[in-house]
Amino acid sequence: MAWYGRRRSGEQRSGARAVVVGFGLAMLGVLAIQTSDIVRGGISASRRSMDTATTSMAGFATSATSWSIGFGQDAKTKAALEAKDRQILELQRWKDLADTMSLRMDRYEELLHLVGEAQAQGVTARVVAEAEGPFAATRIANAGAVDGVQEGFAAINEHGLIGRVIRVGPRSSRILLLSDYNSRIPVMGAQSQDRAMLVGDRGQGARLQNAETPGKIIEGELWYTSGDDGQLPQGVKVGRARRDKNGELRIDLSMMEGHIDFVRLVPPPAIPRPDAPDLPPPPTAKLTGKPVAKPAASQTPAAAKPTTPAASPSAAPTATPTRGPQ
Amino acid sequence: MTGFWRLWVTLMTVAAAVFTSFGLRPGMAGTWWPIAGLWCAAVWASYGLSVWAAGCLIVLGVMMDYMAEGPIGAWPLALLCAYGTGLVAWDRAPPLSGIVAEVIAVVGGLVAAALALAIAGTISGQAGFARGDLTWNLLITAILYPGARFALVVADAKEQRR
Repeated sequence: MAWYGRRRSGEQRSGARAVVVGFGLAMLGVLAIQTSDIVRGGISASRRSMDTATTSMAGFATSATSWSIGFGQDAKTKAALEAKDRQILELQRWKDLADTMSLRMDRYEELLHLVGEAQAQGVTARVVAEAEGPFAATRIANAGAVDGVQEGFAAINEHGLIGRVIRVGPRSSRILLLSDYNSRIPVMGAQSQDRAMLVGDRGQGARLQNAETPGKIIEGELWYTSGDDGQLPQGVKVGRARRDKNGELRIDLSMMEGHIDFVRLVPPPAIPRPDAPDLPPPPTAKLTGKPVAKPAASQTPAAAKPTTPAASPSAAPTATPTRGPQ
Repeated sequence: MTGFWRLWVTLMTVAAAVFTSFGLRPGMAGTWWPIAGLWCAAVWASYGLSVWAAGCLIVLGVMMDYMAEGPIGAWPLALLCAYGTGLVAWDRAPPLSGIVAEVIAVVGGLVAAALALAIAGTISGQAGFARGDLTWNLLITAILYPGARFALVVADAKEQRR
């Protein structure tokens, strides 16, 4: 064969060697400049479009494989589909019940003038690619900016929180898993009410850092998102606490209980700034026409009514911010 | 290098990218999946130094970085290191026999790639480096190499090389 050309002659190819070594050095340079946030920001834009390409390639791979596996399995597939149909019917009944209860809850909240955390709607998407390299553990879902998904959305499935959206393409979004090294989520214990930071640890799941009162944490206790970052909804299940052999607090992530296929991408809770110019008027009781005092537990920043120093000049110099209508 | 060689290397690069994308399918996260780029690096090294092959490895590596959310340049560096290790091994054959050179090229290439990835992660300031899955993926790459070699080698490289 003639392809080996000059190399067969045993000729030294110092020029080619220099080029290949230059390629390697260039790669080192490219890696080094990525410590700059500006460069990373620039690369992020290209990653966004490449996510779409990755989604397409993974979709092609999935369809190609499903064709080959599905060949000759018609009866089995048909039975599985029928089982799924029955399951959908059953779930539809539950959905109707949930809708009814949701309406009732809305009505109760309205009657009580409860200003809690808004229940965001979100988008349901399917995970179409699973990318777990040595540097990151991510998933790609098939909903993107066109569907209203934005960066920072929480990704939740039937087991609990799985991560959050870090990048959005037109029809795809990349989800950073809780187990990734770069993941940091504020969480709280269901029983101890302790708050901590959940830090991803890949193979080990995740560990709890900066717990306020680590002595109170109970092994096996359920942990939820605390929503303290204002980015994730409060009360989404994360996992159960345990201590490893070194005595370090860890969370056995709920997301690892099953396969991640469908996810719900939920926007951050809509909490208006206390100094927002167009705050709604204070809630008034429909029957008495007087402001309603809410129980302290239900008061959130969203419910805060700023006190205007000008309204009570004498108290202005020493006034402390108050939460809720006076 | 002839046009045919370049075309073949380019086609194999595309095939390796498609093969890599099969490892991204839902449900494949915990599965060992071979790294096709390392097969290419080891096999192409047996043909001797080629700038075209190195360029194709870089393109493939960048695609892998985008797919796996790695720092850009990490996989290209790893593939180039594996390629370089293979070149060094094959340059010693003879006196080394072809089999020994091939084993060194593959095993040494995998080790070099793993080290290069770790270094790349450090240079680019990554928060962590997961060795577990990578180790298994490298192992399955080595185990399946003899089969992949038949697909990637279009002629007796040892004969043609010298």
